Amino acid sequence: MEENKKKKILYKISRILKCKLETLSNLSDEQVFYINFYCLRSSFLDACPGSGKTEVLSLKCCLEVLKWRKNSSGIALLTFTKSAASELTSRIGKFNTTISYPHFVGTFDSWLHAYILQPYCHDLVGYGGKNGDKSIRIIEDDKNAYFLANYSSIISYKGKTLGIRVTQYHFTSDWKEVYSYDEKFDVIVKSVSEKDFNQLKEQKLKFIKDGFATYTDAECLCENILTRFSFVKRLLAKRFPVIYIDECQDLSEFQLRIIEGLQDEGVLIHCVGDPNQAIYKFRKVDPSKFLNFVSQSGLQILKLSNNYRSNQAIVSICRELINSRKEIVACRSMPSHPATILWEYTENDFGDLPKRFSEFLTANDLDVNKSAILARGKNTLSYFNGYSENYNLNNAELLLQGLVLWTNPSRRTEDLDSALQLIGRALCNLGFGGLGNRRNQFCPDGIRRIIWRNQIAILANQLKKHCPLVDGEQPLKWSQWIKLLKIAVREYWSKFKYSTTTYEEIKLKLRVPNNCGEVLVTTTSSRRRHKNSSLRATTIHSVKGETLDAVLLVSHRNKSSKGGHHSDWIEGGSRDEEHVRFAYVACSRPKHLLVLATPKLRQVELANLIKLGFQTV
Amino acid sequence: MYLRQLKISGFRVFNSEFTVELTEGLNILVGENASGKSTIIDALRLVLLEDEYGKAGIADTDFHRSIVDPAKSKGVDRILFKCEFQLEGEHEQVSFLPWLSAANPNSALLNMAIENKEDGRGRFKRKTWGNDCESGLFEWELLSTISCIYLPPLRNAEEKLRAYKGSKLARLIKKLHPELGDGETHPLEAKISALNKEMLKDPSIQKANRIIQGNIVNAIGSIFGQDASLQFAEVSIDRIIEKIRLLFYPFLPKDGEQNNLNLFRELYENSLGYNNILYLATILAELEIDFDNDINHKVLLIEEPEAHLHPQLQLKLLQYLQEKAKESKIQIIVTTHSPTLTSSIDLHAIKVLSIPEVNDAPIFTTVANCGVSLQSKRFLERWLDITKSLLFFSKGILFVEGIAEAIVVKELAKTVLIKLNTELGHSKYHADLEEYGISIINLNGIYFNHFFSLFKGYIRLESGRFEPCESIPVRCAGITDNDPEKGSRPTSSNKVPGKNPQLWLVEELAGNSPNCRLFSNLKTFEYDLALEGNNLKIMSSALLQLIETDGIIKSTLLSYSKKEWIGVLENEKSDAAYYLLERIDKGKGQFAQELVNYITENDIKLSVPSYIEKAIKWIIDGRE
Repeated sequence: MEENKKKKILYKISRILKCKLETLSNLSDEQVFYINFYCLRSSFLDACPGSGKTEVLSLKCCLEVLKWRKNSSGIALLTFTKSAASELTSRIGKFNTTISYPHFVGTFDSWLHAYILQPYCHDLVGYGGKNGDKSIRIIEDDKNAYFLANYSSIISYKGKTLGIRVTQYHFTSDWKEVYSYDEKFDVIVKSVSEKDFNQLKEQKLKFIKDGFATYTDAECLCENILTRFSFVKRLLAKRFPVIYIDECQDLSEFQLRIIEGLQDEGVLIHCVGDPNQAIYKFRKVDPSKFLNFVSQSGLQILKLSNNYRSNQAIVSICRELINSRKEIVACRSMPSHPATILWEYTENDFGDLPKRFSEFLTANDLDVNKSAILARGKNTLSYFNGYSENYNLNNAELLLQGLVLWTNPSRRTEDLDSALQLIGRALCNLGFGGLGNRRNQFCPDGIRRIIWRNQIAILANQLKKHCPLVDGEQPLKWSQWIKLLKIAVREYWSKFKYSTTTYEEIKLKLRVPNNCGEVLVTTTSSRRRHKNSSLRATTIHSVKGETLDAVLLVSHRNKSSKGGHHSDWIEGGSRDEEHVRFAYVACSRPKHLLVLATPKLRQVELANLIKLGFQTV
Repeated sequence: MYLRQLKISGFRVFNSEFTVELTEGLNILVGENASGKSTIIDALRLVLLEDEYGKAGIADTDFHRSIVDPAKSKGVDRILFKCEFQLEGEHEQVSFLPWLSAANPNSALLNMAIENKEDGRGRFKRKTWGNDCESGLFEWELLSTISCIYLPPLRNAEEKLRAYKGSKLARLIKKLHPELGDGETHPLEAKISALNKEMLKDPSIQKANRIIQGNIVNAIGSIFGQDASLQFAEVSIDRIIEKIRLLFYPFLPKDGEQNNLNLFRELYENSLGYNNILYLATILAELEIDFDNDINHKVLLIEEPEAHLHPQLQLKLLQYLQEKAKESKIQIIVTTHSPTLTSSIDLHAIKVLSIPEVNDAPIFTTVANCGVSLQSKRFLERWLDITKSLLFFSKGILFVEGIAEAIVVKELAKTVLIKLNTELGHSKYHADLEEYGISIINLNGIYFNHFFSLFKGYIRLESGRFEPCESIPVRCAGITDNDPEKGSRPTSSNKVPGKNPQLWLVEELAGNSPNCRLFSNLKTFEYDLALEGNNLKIMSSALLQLIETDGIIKSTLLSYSKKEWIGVLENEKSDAAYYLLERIDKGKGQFAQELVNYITENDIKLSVPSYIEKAIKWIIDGRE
């Protein structure tokens, strides 16, 4: 771009944003071009990692909002996570602009729910509502609450019968095919008999007619609404004639079709994202579908190809991983220490990886708080001492983990919050069918939240009094502890006036976790993440979009994992494109340091990794 | 729990973040007009959703505009209030979980932002959130556990106590009865309806009913005719309590007796002041109702409770509020201009708002943080009377030792100000200290140490080092006597060491305090005054007015009063000054009075001793 032209454009932008020209002076030519791009055609901004995509998108939206002249129609700015939405809001706020009515900023789901699902779904499915309220209640896809038992199906598979919950499978929008996000179930539901298929469909319809939907059901229903009520599509297109979508590679098929439909009505769609970072295949997100949409709908393609995040060594490895011929310029200078390192671990020192990593960080003046250990699956992470998440805990485990946090002598706000959440979830499961929201401690309808929280606290103190984890010096086993737990809960229940259930009805819901009778409860409870260690150990999925100082990417120990072993990431041939993208996302996070930890390598593997750009130290 | 801190930005006088620190129980906000006291109260009413104001309130002029911007300009983009509550115990933590600060589980955060952008109905968009996350889920239920009640200044209590829908009385009576279940009726309702039935039996009503029925039949015949019946208007508890009003009788009944109901008078017959107290009593009654086992924080905001009350009543009321605050755990925030109130309460309850220079943002000072030692605090609480507690309302203070200084220095200050203007060549300076808002406070002794501790802005550590601390940002100076040996006659060339035990302060203040200075002289006020210029002549003439008997004293003074003293040797002057001092030692106040009379009647100006001039310059300009 010509220097003078760029200056003129920047001056114009700074006038509209009412900011100093200097604040914009760091923008690259590509960035300025996109911000200034006159949107009369839908577009796709292909942004490489670390390209300042969020900043550019927020500037662009800020500018569009300030130039906007209509009162009852506006711009929708859609993201895939709440944190991304609030990040955008706060960046836009820096220019003293707020995106408020008639514009919308939020997650794709919340937008669909607010403008399509909630207003029209009850009409589509014939849901009569509850106390005059016809809103659909959204149940998390993997939810395993007790009330869901009413919607279970029993199907036969390979001569056996098995139960399947309504939240475990979904239908395509024509209701002719069924599938599941769980690979095991996916195989099963795809091969069911016609009779079983009908049963699954019947249960799903019953679930929906009762006013429930999972997130995926909701997307499907929204597409159905737009097909059935064409006026909705037409009006929505008038209400939001311009839509920006961040991380567009994560658009699901349903969402893509909704977007396509709106585009047919004249909506301008501006997508921003990086197809190389699509890692939601398990949610049936396929970046090639998005790319098809781009080419078929004739979106104008723009690019951001400077990486402001990482140094050259890291950028080169990322490029090699995806076999890209695209030139990506690294803007960060190389550190004095090696930037891309390969560590081999053995069965014995595997558990020491976090320690070794954090020592390396400290020695090289890198911030432990801004670094992370990454792996594909929770399985690998669970080997690192202290890492565990609250997924799939049974009621007794919930109470145990909650109790440990509650009795923490130096209890902080987040401990208090988690403790009430865990115990609240158990209390809700026990007495109220498990239907509730994490954010209000699973408070059932009709109970005041303050009262609910105080009820949880009473239960927590009851547990504290009656359920010690050790008997004198002797740590208790689950088989012993569960007895104390039952006594405490029974006593609590006798005074608990908010549930109509009796202790006899709920006592079966308090069980020792599978095969844990002889395990010490302290073993289970210490599996929780140690909050004191500030080094995060987490999945690749959860750091998507983040910038870190240093990353330790850990390969699974053997090839049994799907996409978690280093060979899934680099070896050519039969490799699954998405597995490579896992590695690509992980490797493109750090600014200064990338360490890859693998099990003992064969000569060829080692040579390959060194060729890719890793150094052995 | 209690509200520990309120941060205000963009609201009226407050542009950048302004922090208000509050304590449990009683808080007294003092300060000059336009220093932001009411703004703080209004901010609390908005953020705590006080009934009358919390829901409406905001106007476009509430958004801060710099004083240099035109009056019609738009103001800042956003008003932001941030409250921090101090929590006690697990019960409160659990209840206020959604508001808990991530850093500290003992504090709960409540925030409100108002955007300077009107919607279609001319309302400003508000957003309320707990915690640090603006986009989090907000539990309104928690906000309603905090009752906020506001008493306006110069209120028309009579109107508020009358019978009307939603009156304070109606609310109180409703609150006192436990919530009614479905189909239940309030006992009052049942009683009134029974009474109504009884009254319908009255012959005149019966008769009227019959006449009406007869007329219907006569008019339209028995086929089209309708039945009719007289009834009293429908009774429901809301209608009944709306009709309740308060009456008064000026005296309390004797023990075990009751005043006859016939004696009670309508409120408009009562005095404004007593009506205010009656109103306050109703409000406190409402705050007293305790909701069992429930979290219920109470904030009572009172603006200028001194309105319409005579001083003793003010004091009585304040003591009562102080007790109530403790007993019922009410956090009370009072604004006042009354020195009577400030002179009689716990110093730590006082919060001072000051505006050091025109156009400056107000400064908030918590007296509790001023490093006042326990000893000084006790002393001040005992010694603060109405005159002395003026110090909380002044823009500058001159502390003096006695009545004589208090009377004369006022006049001397005028001379200094004239001199300053002459030096400058034009009249930048005002004519007297009042115009500057500077008070002269007579300590009746040399208690400078205690009084300065509110303003001095540093504390002395045990190690002997000095460390800066909060202080009321007002410049003050003290003038004190050097007090050497009784018989001594010091002159500027022949100084005598003083025995005044506070003299150490002179140096300590000059070295450490941004606000305070202490100045001293050669011997005593009168002695030093007499040494100056031709003052001996004037002072002798004034003293002569008080001498009734002829004799040696009168003739000496007469000779002094005829002499021109300018240019006379210091030693001779000091002898005369000493002589004069001996004569007035017993009646300094009387002499000071006479001296001021004399100079004003004869339009003479006294020359000003340099230590006094320095003190005045310090307060006015901060010049040393």
